[in-house]
Amino acid sequence: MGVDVMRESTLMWLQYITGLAILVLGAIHFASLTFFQVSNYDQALLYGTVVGRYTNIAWASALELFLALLSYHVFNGFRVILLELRQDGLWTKAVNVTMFLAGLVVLLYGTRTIALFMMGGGA
Amino acid sequence: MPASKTIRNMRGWLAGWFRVVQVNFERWLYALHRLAGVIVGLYLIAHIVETSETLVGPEAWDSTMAFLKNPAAHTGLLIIAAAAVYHGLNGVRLYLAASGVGIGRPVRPEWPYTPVSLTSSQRNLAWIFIAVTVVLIIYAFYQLFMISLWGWM
Ligand code: HEM
Ligand code: HEM
Repeated sequence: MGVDVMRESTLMWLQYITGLAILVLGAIHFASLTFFQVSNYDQALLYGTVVGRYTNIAWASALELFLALLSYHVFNGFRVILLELRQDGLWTKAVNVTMFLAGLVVLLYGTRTIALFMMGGGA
Repeated sequence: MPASKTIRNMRGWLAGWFRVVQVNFERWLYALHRLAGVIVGLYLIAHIVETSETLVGPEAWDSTMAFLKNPAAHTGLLIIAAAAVYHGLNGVRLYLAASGVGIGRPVRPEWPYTPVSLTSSQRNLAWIFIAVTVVLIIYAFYQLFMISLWGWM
């Protein structure tokens, strides 16, 4: 099931690489919520500002990339923690499959927001 | 090594993270890294539900934002921001340690057998990242409380 096809060392390497990319995109996210292109936090959260970002192709792509990297990093992180709690084959399989699916749901649900705005959705 | 100092294989839910047997600074940083990672990870799930409110329309979004504009919610956001900053910067330190950067050269083991990694530049790096973390948390406090809630600007 997807998650069994890679070695643990590759998955952990990806944990670090996605982490570093998240650091960069996360810094941009926090900057855009406080001083970048806006003057403060309240202004960043105005409906117009948020929709302006979702409908801008560059911002939307950055958000989508951020979302995709996080979906991997977070659910692989959860998976590692859960696998440590108990060592047996069934548990391992169950955790691997559940975390893979949970990450996929988060990725798809978040992508839906971004995609619908790109297709001219929203109110 | 006296028997009381041997580390048993700690089983059970969560016991392994926080039952710090031989207290050392990096061990605490690690426990916090996990805690922070879990906090921010759970927030991500709520966050994508929250941001999807924008699709419903301006009224729905504005009422969610108004609902969240109070000291309790902003305290929660400050904790999330702090956890994200801490986890991210500590992650860089872990990345460097895993890559062998700044962990020091191997030395002949001599009493009290302190690993070089705990006295090398990795230690100093840890203090630097903690200092940066604190500065960024203060900035988040400034934005969330001083400007947004208390209207100082
Ligand atoms: C703590 C304060 C935070 C606030 C106020 C906030 C606010 C927002 C807003 C308004 C958006 C909509 C797009 C935009 O305006 O750029 C957004 C999107 C997003 N944020 Fe945050 N955010 C915060 C923290 C975080 C954290 C810590 C993460 C990482 C776990 C994160 C991950 C994301 C992702 C992945 C999206 C894209 C969601 C999607 O549309 O699918 N945010 N955030
Ligand atoms: C900003 C750059 C980031 C870096 C460099 C980074 C790095 C790491 C590393 C190295 C680990 C493995 C720790 C271990 O072996 O115990 C890890 C675990 C984890 N990370 Fe991140 N991370 C970053 C951002 C994030 C963000 C923004 C989130 C959440 C939205 C997150 C969630 C997690 C979770 C849940 C774990 C599992 C904790 C564990 O295994 O102990 N990380 N991260």
